[in-house]
Amino acid sequence: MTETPILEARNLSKHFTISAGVMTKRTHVVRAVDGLNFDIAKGETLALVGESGCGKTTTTRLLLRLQDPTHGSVRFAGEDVHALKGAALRKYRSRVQAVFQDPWSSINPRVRIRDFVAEPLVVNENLTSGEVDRRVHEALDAVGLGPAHASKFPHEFSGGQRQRIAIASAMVSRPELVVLDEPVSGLDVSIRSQIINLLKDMQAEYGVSFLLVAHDLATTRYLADRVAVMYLGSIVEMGKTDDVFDRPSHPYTEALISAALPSTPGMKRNEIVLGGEVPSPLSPPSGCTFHPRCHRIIGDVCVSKTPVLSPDPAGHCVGCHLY
Amino acid sequence: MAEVQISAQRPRRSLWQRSRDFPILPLAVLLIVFIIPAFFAHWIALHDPYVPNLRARLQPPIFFGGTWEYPLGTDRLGRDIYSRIVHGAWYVLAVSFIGILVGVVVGTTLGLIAGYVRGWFDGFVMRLVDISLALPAMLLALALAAAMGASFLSVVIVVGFALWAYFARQVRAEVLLLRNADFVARSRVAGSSHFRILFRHILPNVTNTIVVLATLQVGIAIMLDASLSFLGIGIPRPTPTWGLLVSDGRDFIATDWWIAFFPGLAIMLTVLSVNMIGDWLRDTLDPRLRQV
Amino acid sequence: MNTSQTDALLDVRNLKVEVTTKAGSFFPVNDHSFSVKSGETLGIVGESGSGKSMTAMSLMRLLPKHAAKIRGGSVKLDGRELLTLSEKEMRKVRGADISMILQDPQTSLNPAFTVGDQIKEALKLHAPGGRKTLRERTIDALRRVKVAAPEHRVNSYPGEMSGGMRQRVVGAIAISCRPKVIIADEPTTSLDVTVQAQYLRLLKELQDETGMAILFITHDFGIVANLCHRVIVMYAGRIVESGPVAKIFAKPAHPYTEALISAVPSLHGQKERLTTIPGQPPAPTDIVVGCPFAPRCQYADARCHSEAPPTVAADQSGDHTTSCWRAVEA
Repeated sequence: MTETPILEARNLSKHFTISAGVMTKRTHVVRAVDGLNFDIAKGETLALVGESGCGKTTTTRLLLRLQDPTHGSVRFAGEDVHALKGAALRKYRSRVQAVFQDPWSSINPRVRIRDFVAEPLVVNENLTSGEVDRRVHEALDAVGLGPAHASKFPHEFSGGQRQRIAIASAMVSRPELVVLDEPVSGLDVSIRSQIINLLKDMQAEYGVSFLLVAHDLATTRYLADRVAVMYLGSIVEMGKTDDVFDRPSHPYTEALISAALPSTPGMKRNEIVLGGEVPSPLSPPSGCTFHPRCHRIIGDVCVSKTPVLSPDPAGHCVGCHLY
Repeated sequence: MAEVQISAQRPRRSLWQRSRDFPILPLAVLLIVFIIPAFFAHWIALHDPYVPNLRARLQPPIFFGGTWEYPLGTDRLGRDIYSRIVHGAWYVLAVSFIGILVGVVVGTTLGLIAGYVRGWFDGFVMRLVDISLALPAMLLALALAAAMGASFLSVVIVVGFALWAYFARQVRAEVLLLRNADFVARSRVAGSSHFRILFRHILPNVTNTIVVLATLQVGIAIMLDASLSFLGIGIPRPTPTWGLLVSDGRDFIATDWWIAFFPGLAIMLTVLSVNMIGDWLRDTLDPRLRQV
Repeated sequence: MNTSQTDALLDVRNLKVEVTTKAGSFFPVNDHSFSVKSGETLGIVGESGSGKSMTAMSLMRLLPKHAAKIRGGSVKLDGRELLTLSEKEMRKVRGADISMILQDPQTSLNPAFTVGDQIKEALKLHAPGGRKTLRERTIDALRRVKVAAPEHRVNSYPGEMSGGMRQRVVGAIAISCRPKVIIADEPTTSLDVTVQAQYLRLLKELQDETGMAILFITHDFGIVANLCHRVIVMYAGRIVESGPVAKIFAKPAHPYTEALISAVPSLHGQKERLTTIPGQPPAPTDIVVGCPFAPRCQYADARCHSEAPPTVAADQSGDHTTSCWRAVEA
């Protein structure tokens, strides 16, 4: 990562306030995302992995400016995303796009494919309708759908085709960053690999950066250059995909990878069984939030002191008192 | 779950296939009793509905001793009941249509905005809805009649006031679900303004609901109009609205039953047909029901 | 399918289910034959629309009455024919002999009752007892699915539990009457990776303990590889391959199975480009002539498009079958 990153998140935090109880006005603060620091380089794929409730979806909503952070900032091409206004904001909107998990709910059922795919162009750029048509056909062509599909409605397509349409719409404005929120987990197995390959081809051709959110580790391994493992709103480990998957350092990463089922029968694996479940973010444990489930706990320091995410010379970061 | 699997990739039924279970009978009744009279009253009426004919007072309907001259009988001033019903249909249609339009426009706009922006405006609109649903429409009608005098306008306002809250509540509920749909988030990411999201993405997804609800409200509007006329705070005399006709026959129900009966029958048939068509529309337009 | 019928606990022969919709009728379950023994786990693998959930529902006789009809075949549990039982007799079989774990733990529990009440309800139907014994057996059922502090948890409402915990409760209800067969319809799809691993281990332990047979419906070959003894692969309403898991992974006989296995991204080994299956599965109402997979198959020839292949043995042992013309020729 010698060149300047296209996106930098610094101390990014989002806290929600929930009022509890009918009679009392007690409120809880949920730290959905707490102090994230990460960069995404041009043409790179960074994956956020973790279990439900770890804050990965909140993170994407902050990057997409669907929500404002409580603390910290997101800088895109050097500019603070949450301070953008007017023309600068419109520019950001056309440079950062998203593909969502569920191809059934992410496309408005009442809008023609052409209009759906064209939306980022129509709202952000001043193009003639002929120019828009040309770009839409180009984008549909790139995802393997002919221009004949442009006038159809979404219900005429299967899940895999819909996800292709969603990708076409995300790519039509030639964005520099696309947030992929579980792009294949809603699809059938035989369609999944088609989409994974398509995304890789898109990246190779257009040099776009991806922020991938996934809970499926195998998909992540195929798409991501670097991985950030999240637990209860914080990154616990971050590094090159192969390093993290082949030599996981944080006990949680170890457990997560060991829990993934191998794809061939009879394959030996040393599964690390985590006790209990992810604690409620309403009352996260003290110190290292992973300590109640940790199989390598070293002592009082885990309970009392929050570990710092510290990088080694190769850029691999681990937030654990063991290191 | 089984249903989901069947329907996952089922081709959409063509319009012809869907029209096969179209409610022909209710539609025919509606045309004959309501629509045709409303638009062609002058051609199909037999007599002038306003001119009394004291020599033909209280004629019974045909088959009950009457003649073809007055097929549904006459009232105590000798006016032809049939012609009065036919001429009244226009007013009933106009009041219910315009009243519902007022309700749809006001209710949908407030419901859309309330559900989308949430916050204090949402709370404010929902309290208005609560108040509006708690306040009897009759009370408002009385107040309006006292303040500005009963007129076509006052009746339309009362009908619109009585109905807007249903639209607002229903539309808001659907918007609350839709605003969290991924396609709304995607559109925001694409850079759409709130205005564009509301009117290009959310509104088209609630139109079915509005159409169905509006159809089902026609019955309520007609009944409300009739009740107002019956109480004497509707469109003033001598306009022969159906409620007024029923009211006119009230004192004669034991002896000259036909004066109230036929206008009452017209109200019942119209409301029943409209409701049946509304049910059919709801089943046809609701995508969840359509799939099964 | 030469599994000797004597030792089969659940034996399904030539089961056919017809679904009638306004767009036409079709067979989501088309001539299915398979069997499962005590203590065995049979994986039923297929993509959405392949008819795998329909198969499960027809075994329970819980098909939607107005739309789906069983059009032939037999389902024998311990030698007893289920398809001819009266609805009342069938109700006794459900829950007591065969029970089911559904995909979504959010909706398969009633949020208005405590989990204890819901387990008790299942117990009461099939094995009535006094208040105290019922409570003990409820707590015992929770203990068997490894819910911590079951004495307290019986009084919890589903809303107070996590997804993994709720799915354990669903499991507790399913096993509470010690059924001989459990049908699990993608029970772990909505669970997180670490919780899924816990749940699969729990199922295995329960099976070792009680000797129940499990029909595990899934689209995930990873789960099949780790949990199942045998597997049947479904495509467009037909069983295209069936056999022991190790054999099918080592030497898949049907091109669909082969493609499906190699399309799954792996956590280990080389990261070469994923193989894909071109195209889409046929819509259920499409009229299929020949092999349903032929349009997507890299080996298909003229006969595959015109004639449906028969089901034949894929090797000498006879426990591995497939329906593919390539196997017929071999």
